[in-house]
Parts: sequence; structure tokens; C-alpha cells
Amino acid sequence: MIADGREVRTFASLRFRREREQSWIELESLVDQVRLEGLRSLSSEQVERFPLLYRSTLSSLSVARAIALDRALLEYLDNLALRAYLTFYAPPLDVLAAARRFALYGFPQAVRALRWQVAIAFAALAVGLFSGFVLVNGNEQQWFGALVPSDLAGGRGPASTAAELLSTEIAAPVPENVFGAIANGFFSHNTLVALLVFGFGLLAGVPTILLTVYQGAILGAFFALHYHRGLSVEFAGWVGIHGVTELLALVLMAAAGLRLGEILVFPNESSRTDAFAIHGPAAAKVAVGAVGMLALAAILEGYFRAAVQSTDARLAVAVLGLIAWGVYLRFAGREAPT
Amino acid sequence: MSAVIESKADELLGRGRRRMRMLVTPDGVPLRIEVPELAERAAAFAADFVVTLVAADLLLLAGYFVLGVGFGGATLAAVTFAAFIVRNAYFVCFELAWAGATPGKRALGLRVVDRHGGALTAAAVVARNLTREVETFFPLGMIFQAQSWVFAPWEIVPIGVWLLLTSALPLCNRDRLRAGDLIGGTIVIAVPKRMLLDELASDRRAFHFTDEQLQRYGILELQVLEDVLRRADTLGREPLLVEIAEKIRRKIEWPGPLERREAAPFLRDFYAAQREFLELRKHLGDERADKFHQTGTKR
Repeated sequence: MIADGREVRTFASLRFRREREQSWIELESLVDQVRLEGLRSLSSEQVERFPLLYRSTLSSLSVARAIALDRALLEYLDNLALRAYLTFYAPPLDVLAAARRFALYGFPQAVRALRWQVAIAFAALAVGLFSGFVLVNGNEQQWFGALVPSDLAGGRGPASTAAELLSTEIAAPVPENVFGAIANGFFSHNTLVALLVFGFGLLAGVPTILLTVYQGAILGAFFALHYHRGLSVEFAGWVGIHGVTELLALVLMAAAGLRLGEILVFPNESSRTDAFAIHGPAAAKVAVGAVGMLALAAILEGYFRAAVQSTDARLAVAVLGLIAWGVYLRFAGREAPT
Repeated sequence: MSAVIESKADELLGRGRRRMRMLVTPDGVPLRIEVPELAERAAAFAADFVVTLVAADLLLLAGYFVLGVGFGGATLAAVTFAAFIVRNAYFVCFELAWAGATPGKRALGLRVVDRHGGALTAAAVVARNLTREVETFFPLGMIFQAQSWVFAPWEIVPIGVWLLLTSALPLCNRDRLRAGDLIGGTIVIAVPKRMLLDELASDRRAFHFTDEQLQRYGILELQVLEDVLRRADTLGREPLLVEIAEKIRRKIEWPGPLERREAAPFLRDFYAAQREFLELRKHLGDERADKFHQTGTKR
């Protein structure tokens, strides 16, 4: 009975597969070749064929969905179209070129897009700084310990004398293990807070503001401590040499965190996940750049601060740093592509 | 990213039981994509994480031997810092250079792609990796080094809540996005490689069926039969085929008995005829989902 099977009229999906099959197999071999040997391994004819085959396979998929009930075929075409799409639309990126483009254009542009959030973060930091200073000034016993965690104070406090502060803190020598000191600088309280300030943006931005104010208050408390002992200028130099960069990074992180909170609370026309997909990367760009600034601040803090002992020189670095960051963030990458 | 309309057979036969979602390409064609299980992502991450830890360790050892940086000064912060640098450099460089894959992801067939079908950007890659630090590593570090970083013991509580929130996030959305994916606008998908299986239907047939006989079943039964036939090819389950052939024979009132050795060719021919019939009905606007469809009425 099997032997005398007779020919019947070929039906649509059977014919469709016979006619298109070769082009799918060709595309599949190209996709595999790129996956294993990279885009450069394609010959010029293959490069020409690829988009044609890709588009014809997409059309095959649409046709198959409309006419074919063969599940294996549908799954194969879906999978092939996806793999070809990933090869076609997600080519590998040049890491160095991407980094360069980010530093020259992406980061300053993203910061400028967040100018309101930056202003709010600055205001929060200033409020904290001011209140910390006012609270601690003249009230050290009561407020310094309440505002500054004891580990962060590192023995400094109402009991410290001006001479102690000068010798152990402001004029401390270059540490023996520079890498360790830089690492300590990076993983200091401030960096962690900066990163958390960004992450907490996902909690609608409220903890972001609170933490930023609190950071300002800690700094204000330290400032009051030194002011009271006639060391304000020395302290300004000691903090400023890296603090300008570090605090600016903190403010940018807070601004990015506020943006995240804004997206979460006001997704506008789109769903929240869509709103994050559209606006999230711009906020993240600011945070990424700020992490770079934090690393720079850690190098300044761990090595250069101790290497440069003159308060005047420290202040000069701080002022120059402030100007440089201001000019960079305001003017860099203005006429260039995003 | 949108929901996928699964056919009844997909639901029943499971397609590997991964979640299906739709991704619309810039050409406007919706593609079905598979969202990997969290266990797969965890396995890929664990593999990558171990590699970065070993690399960071080697880097510190090299620092010790080549530059003479003493271990006495190798504080926990220095080790954490080296691990941080190596880990992020590794993830970012691989996800950029390998278009969304790291060695661990590649081994498990996972890829990071743009959630809206566009090209994966460097900013998105860096963002999703940096956010992982904020999500997990910094809070963990703060708990482990509680003495130096945490203000008071109760500060563990908010950190714990934060860790709980960020680790619960992937469970709370259909795309299994973690916070980094959310912010970076990315999604991790599974890209298995599927083979083009042989065509089951042929235009040489020994058994012939009338339209009346082909009315009895719908697409669901057709696709389940397809699944059985494909598996039987590899597994050689003859008794099952005989049983199914017998059921179909009774349902369609096939005249005359079937011998055991005829079961497989009978089923193949029935499959071909049934598919031809249902495809034509579908083409004419009469898609028949399963055997409970109302004959002659449009759905």
C-alpha cells in the first residue's frame, strides 16, 4: 500500500517551503559564520546578500504565520529571523570609540539635559551644609556626635584640638600603600552614598534628597569643627582638592536619581517600563560619568592631597577643578551628534 | 515588548516552558522571543562572577610580585576595589564587543538586547552593569563591613529592605527585568538555535481522505499529531502510533481495518491531508482552533 502512493496536488505551505527553503539555509549559514568568525569573515558578496536574505526571511516569517500550520517551521523561522536580526541590528561595538564619544559628547550633553535636577540637588546639598554648620557651630557637644557617624569622624570631634587636627588630618603624609589609599578613597562613605543616592531614585527620589541633605550636614559639621578652631582655610583646602570633584559627582548622582524618581512617578503617556526604557539611559549616562569623577576624586584624595601639602596649592587645585568641570559640563560636545 | 498570543498547541506542548514575549524589529515585524528563567541568568552570572574574582585575584598577585605592593597594605577595600574594576570592565567590554553577551551568557545562550528592538548602546550596557553594583554589591559590602560603613546596627534594616526590593524586582515583572535592565532599557533573552526539521507532509500519499473526514479535528489536534510524529521519528514509539491511528480511524469513521505496520504511513498521510484542509479553511477565514469548533461558522 505504501508503494503505490499516488501524487496529489501540492498545497500552498508545502510549495512555499520548497521555494524559500534554500534562502533560509543560506541565511542560517551566514548567521552562524558571523557568530563563530565575526563580521569581518564575510566576503563582499556575502555582505551584499545578508540584508536581502534577512528581509526575505522576515517576509517568509510573515507569510508562514499567515498560511502555515507547521509548528516546527514557524518556530524555525521565528528563531532564524531573531538570530539574523541580532546579527544585523546588534553589531559589536568598539569599546574605545564608545568611551571617547561618551566623554566628549554623551556625558556633558546628558548632564545639561538634567539642569533642573542638578539645581535641586545642589540646593539640597547647600541646605544640608548650612544646617550642619549652624547646628554644630557653638554646640559641638550636642550636635557633632549626633550628625557624624563615629567611624567617619575617625577620632575627630569636640575633644580635638587645633594642633591634633593639623597633624593627624590636614598634614597627614603620603600613605605607604597608594593603591590601598586610593581604594579606600573610592570606597569611602561618600562614594557609597553617591551610588546609593542614585539607586534610591527608584524609591521615587525621596531618600535621594534626604541623603543629599544629610551628606551636606556632615560636611557642614566638620566645617564648623574646624572653623571653631581657626582652621577654616586649611580645611577648605584639605577638603576642596578632591571634594570639588567628589561633591560635584554626588550632586550629579543625586540629579540622576531624581530623574529616575521622576520617571517612576510621572511616566506620562507610556507604561513605567517603557518610560524607563526611553528616558532611563540618559539618566544612567550621568551616573556613569559621575562614577568616573568619583574615581578621579579618589586618586586626588588618596595620593595628591597628601603629596601637595601647601594649603594655597590645594585651594588652587580646587578652584581650577571647579572651573574645569564647569567649562567641560557647560560647553563640551555642543555641536556634535548625540 | 508586548504579550504574545500563543496558540493552543504552544500552551499545551510548552515550548520548553520559557515565557514568550514579542519584540518588534525596526522593520516592523514582531518576533517571538523567549525570556530565560531566573536560574539560567543566575548560572550565567555565577560563571562570569567567578572568572572576574579569579582575574581580580591574579591582578592583585601581579601587583604584589611585579610592583611590590605589599599584602600588609592590601586592605579589604583594595581587594573590593580591584574586584569592582575588573568585574565592571569585564561585563561592559564583553557586552559591547560581543553584542550583548558575556562568556557566561554565551554558554547558556543568553543575550542582552534593547527592549524596543533598537541597537544596544554603550550607555545602556554600562548603565545596566553599574546599577548591579548599587542593587547588590554595595549593600552587601556595607553589611559585611558593617563596622566601618554603617552608622548604627539598625542601619542594616534599610539596607536589607533595599536588597530585598532589588532582588524581588525580577520576579515582579513579566520580562524578568532587574533594576539595571529597567534603567538601561534592556532585556535579557534566550536565543537557542533551532534546526529546520524535515517536512512531514508530502504530496505522495497512499491514504486519501474526504472533506467530511477532515472536519473532525482542528489546529490543536493537528499540531499535537505533528509533535507525536516528530518524536516518533526519533524515539520509535510504534505502540503509541498504533493507538493514535486507531483513535483517529474510529473518529473519522475510516472504512476497513488498519494493520499495525500501516499505522505510521496512515498518520503521516492523515497529517498532510488534515494540514492541507485546515490551512485552506484558515485561508478562507474559517480558522478552526480545535475539535470543538462549530463547523461552517466563522469564529
